[in-house]
Amino acid sequence: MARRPDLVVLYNAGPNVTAARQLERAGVPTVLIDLNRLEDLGPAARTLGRLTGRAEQAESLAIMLDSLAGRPPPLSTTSLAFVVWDNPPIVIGHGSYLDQLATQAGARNVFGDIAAPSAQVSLETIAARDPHWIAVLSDSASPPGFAKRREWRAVRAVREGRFLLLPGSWFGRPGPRSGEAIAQLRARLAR
Amino acid sequence: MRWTLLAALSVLALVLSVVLGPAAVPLGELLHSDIVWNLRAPRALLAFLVGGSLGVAGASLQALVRNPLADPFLLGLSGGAGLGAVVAIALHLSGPWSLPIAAFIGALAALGLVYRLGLIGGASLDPRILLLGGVAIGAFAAAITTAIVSLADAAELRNAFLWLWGGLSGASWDSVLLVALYAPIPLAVLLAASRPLDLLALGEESASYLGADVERVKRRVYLAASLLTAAAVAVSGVIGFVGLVVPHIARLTWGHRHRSLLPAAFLGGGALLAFADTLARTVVAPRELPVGVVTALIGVPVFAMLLRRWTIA
Repeated sequence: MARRPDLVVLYNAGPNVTAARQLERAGVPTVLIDLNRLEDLGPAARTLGRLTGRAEQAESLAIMLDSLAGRPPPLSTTSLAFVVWDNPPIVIGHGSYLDQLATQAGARNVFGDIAAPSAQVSLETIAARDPHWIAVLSDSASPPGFAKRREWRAVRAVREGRFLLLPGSWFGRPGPRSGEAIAQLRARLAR
Repeated sequence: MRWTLLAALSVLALVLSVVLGPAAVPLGELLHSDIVWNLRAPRALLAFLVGGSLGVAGASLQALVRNPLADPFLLGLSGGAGLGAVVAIALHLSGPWSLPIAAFIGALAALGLVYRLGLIGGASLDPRILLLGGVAIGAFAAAITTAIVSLADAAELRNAFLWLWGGLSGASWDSVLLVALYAPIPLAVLLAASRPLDLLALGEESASYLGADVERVKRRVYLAASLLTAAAVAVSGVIGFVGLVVPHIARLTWGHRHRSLLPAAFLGGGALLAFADTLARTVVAPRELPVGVVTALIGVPVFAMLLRRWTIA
């Protein structure tokens, strides 16, 4: 409040809802935005466009973003598992936008049958589902630390060094760059 | 007969851990499966060793502080281990063993501080101060851990809590070998202290009259039980209830004599954790439950039954 913002944009989750109510009561314009899946991007762009007086530009962006979630996915030619944490192993499930990015890029998420955005699984489940790629959000060019761990060598993709290291700025959250992220992922899978 | 039953239960828990899992491995292929040899077998053995260590550490500490609520993690070790792990992540220490080593160092630092506090009244180690010091050091370490996590940008730090909640996902033949080489030393120290621990139940003064070197026993038992717990937390995080509940269940059958109680607590703790881990891996497959959740789900009702029994008695 001390910075006197014209608008406060908050991610619509838990404590932010209370914070938004308090800010509104104090007279600070506040908006809560759902930004979990690709289909949330278009509505978010329209809301922000309307609130910042740039509705027309926002609409053209929103049409492009709507098409990301709406376009029919290509046939999957390969499979992957997104590993977001190694001990305990936490993977991305169907509820995450990363699952959508993989589908749109032509890859099958081997944990697409888990409805939640992310879930703890056993290492043996990853080994048994045998993804062709292990996708990791990382800005580094070197394989993740767990690649050196003996137990992870039971996963064939780890043993054979098939990692997709995806930069956080492109893949870390759904946003206007998601279209580019899909194209990047598709290009990497085709290599 | 009761030893045969406990041994059979231990073997059954280990066999189930190896045979059952979220991945379908046909029985005929069990002996040739990579999943069984490289993942399930070391995980089952590590679960057994960690559960056994926590059982023995819990039984010894309950005797040392003469408090049935004493738990291996009550003495500040979990807080210290957590702080060590979070500092390792915040400093971006790499290497497959950086997290367990940092957690072990954190637990040892907490052990040292609590031990020093235990001696605050003079040369005699005061079990009541050990308990209070453990709670205070644990809370202090947890507060620093929370401060680091809340100030950090990295999502990795938030995930460090998942590691701390306990689990055996990091099990490998390396970690089994490490615990198998390390644990026998503190286990032997505790087993050797069986008789003095029996005497301590009569009170320090009586134990002393009956020939126990009370001060030496207290120091040895505290250090050995803590070192055992520190190793367990380093390889598997904080797995609650095993060290609290198993000694009480073992006492119901084997009584208060530590020469029998400690081996029974080892086998019982090992069997409980191996069994709990099998449940954690299979009941919601392909997802996995944190094993600490399963041990709590088993441990709390058992503990409630024990409390009821004591209250009635």
